[in-house]
Amino acid sequence: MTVALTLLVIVTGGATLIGPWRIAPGLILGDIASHLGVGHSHLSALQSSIVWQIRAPRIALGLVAGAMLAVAGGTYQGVFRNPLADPYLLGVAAGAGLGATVAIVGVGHGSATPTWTPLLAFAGAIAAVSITWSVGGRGRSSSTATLVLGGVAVSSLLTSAQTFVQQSSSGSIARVYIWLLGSLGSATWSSVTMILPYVVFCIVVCVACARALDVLSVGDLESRSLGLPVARLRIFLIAASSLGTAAVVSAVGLIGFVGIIVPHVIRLVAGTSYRRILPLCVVVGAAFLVVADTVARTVVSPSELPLGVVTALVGAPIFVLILNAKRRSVE
Amino acid sequence: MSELRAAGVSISSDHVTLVNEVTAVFPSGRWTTIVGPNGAGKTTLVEALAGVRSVTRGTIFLNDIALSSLSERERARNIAFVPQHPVIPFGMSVRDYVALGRTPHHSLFGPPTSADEEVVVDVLVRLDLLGLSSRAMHSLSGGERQRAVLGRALAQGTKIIILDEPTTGLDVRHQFEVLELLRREVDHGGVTIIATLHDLTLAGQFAQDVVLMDHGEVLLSGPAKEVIRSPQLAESYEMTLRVVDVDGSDVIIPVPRDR
Repeated sequence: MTVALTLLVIVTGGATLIGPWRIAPGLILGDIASHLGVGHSHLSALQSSIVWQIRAPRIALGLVAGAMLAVAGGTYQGVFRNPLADPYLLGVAAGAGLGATVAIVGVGHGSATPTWTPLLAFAGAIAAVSITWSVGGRGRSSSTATLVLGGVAVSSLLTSAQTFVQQSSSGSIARVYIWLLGSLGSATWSSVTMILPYVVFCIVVCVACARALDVLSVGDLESRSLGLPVARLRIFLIAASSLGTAAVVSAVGLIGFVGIIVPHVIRLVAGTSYRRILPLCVVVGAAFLVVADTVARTVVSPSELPLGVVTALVGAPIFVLILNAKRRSVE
Repeated sequence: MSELRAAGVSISSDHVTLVNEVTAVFPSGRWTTIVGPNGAGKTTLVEALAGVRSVTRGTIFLNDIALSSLSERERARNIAFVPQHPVIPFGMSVRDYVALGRTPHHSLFGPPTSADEEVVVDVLVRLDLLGLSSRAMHSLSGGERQRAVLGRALAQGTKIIILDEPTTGLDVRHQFEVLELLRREVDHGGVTIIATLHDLTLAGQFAQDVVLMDHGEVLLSGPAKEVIRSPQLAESYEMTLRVVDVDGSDVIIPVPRDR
């Protein structure tokens, strides 16, 4: 945990100092120190606004989104007792994608992505999970298989609807794609404060239930014999992590890979108890997404790589390396 | 006192009746074994007695209180359940696994209290698991694993323990070890045991009472010695059962009928 926190601080600091607009790191450090009441800032007004109005909110959004996606992924894996579960399992991504596409295409002729895209994406995500739950979540509480299958059905249906809407308006395809691939580029302090309440609530709920998720690892039947209210716990955790994921997706688009790879990397390093996995997901998920975003906005600067591309590009090799190292130590 | 009673209990699943109108008493502080051929409804009945499966008709009473009226946690403080094939969570240590038994006693969101920790250590010592406590469950041998599973049930601190085929997959020595351990709980802890067993000799040796089930119904129940020697038992297996007395205990030798 200490290692992970140190890593987070270094990553956040590093990301603040790096950007296409070169500002001497010393000046930024001096500026941050002056905000803490030490010394005086030597940054110009322009430089200061680049740091505080462009870089800082972007990093903050990355921290919040990364933490939420990783925790939601870890929670889903525990709730479904399936290592392949990710936060988009029940249709959050497809619903948000449809909502955002409708928003972008609906306005149609403007060249900008409308400001209410996040609202429609959020509504789409929540609607998708609700449909999945009403289709697959009823009946015997012990069956998560029907819920997952419901998610698959709802996802494919909404994705095809999204494709249809997207194809019907060729002028906005590029913007739809950019949104779908995910980006922190439009981050402002208001987008951070908008999703922060959801994310904080969801993370607190999921981390508080970590012990219950450990109990759930012996299966529904035995958890019930141990006094765990399995059905209620499941719906509660799914609702919480879906809500947080929907909020994040509405602000940053579809960033894949974080929710599945971060919990697994942690599992390989720190063991299988959710009491360790979920708190570490908060820290490592946040750090991972900020690193990925820093790569995305600097490698081909001044243009940017889609964040979803970078998370997979950075994440997959790290995952394979750790997997290999672990395998060797086990054998 | 901790007595379980099934009153006219029927359980169906997908319109198939698995347990039909079962009325039976599992007296406090005694060991009752349920025997019967495959498909007799033993597992379904013990799951219902443990409160982890709902009944279609009838009521299960715990000391004259309907089991279904208790909260999950209250029920789990009274009844522990060991299924035939427990799910072994990958990577969990023996100590953490045994500590799962304390779930109904401490807050779901907080850590176990020091009293919970004491119970866990006490169980680890009693079951000779202390040396294995940091080992991963999935790395244990069958016998060690079953001991840890029993450890979790004992850590639950209940007056009733229900077990479905607790000797599955164990060699003879470990079968005896597990059953001896449970007998100690009945003799010294006043615990009520309800277990299904396929081995009729073991059933007769360890149980005080035996319930015979077939086709979802209870055919016979009573003291172990009587039920083991009853013609209904042989009838339900469609076998001839020879009962041989070896040093005072009954050994049952099944013989096919057409010989």
